[in-house]
Amino acid sequence: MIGRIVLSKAGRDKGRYFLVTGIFDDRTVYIADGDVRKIENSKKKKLIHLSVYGQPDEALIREAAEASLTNKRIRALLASHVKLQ
Amino acid sequence: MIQIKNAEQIKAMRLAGRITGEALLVVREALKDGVTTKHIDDLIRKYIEKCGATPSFLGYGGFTGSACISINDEVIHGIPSEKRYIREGDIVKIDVGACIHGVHGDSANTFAVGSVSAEATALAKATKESFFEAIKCAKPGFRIGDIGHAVEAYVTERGYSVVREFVGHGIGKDLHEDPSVPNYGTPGRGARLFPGMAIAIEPMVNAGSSKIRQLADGWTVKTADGALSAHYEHTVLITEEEPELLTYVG
Repeated sequence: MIGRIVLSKAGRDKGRYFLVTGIFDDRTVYIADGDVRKIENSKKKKLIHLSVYGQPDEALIREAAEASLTNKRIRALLASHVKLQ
Repeated sequence: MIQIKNAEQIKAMRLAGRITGEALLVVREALKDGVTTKHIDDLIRKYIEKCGATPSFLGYGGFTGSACISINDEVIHGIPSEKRYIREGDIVKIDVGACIHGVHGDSANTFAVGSVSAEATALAKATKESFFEAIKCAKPGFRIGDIGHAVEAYVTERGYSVVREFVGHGIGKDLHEDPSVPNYGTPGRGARLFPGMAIAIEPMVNAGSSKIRQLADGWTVKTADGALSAHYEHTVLITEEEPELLTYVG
């Protein structure tokens, strides 16, 4: 799940897109959007409260796994990847 | 997990949807007294393949047809057969799926063969209308339960019942994805709807009791009381505003 873009379905952040920045356990991941939820304060989110967006992007997954993301970079990645039109 | 479609997937689903919708239209003229359900199935398969797509149902769980063709008191999953004849007065429910560029479309309609009873006409009309009632809730801010509630309320007001064992579904890379979309529900309950979700909303409505039975062939589902059943389905894309009916053609 690291590097996948997800949509929050529940909670105060519902309706917003995030990047999965880490894994807590088989049911829970860490998410951040570099904006209302910065990477250093990634939100622990249950998978059942998330929808996954689009297809896996290898470059994105690699970048997220390297753990060198900045908030600015996450914002830019989400802006360029999330296209519903 | 629910899959939100990106722009590329949406574009592909529009194409899959269009092919699916067209496949249903092409058989309209062929539905006559004396034709077999296999003949109709062949027409559908050939059309889908001509468009460069593959029939989603063929081989799915071992299903031998490209379409489910169900007659009168058969609810869904009728297996196309050389021994099954369509007759004047029948209502024929055809459910089709087409897959192209790795995504699916799914649609169904109820067709009248020649002159059918007023009862059958009313049932098919109410079933179709319940779909259009339901899609008023197919928008951000609504939930899956709102859709199901809309279908059930509409048809039960008219004296019909909804089938409970079979449900609509998310659709995309897989023919059946999360979430389930029942034709019954509680308003304000269930998964929230967001732009980019694609769901197949498919009211299955019985003239009599909601109870169904499965035939020994392992597929065909019939109404338990022998009453008529109707089916109407489109693949629906949730957008920021009005839903887009991906399989609605013409």
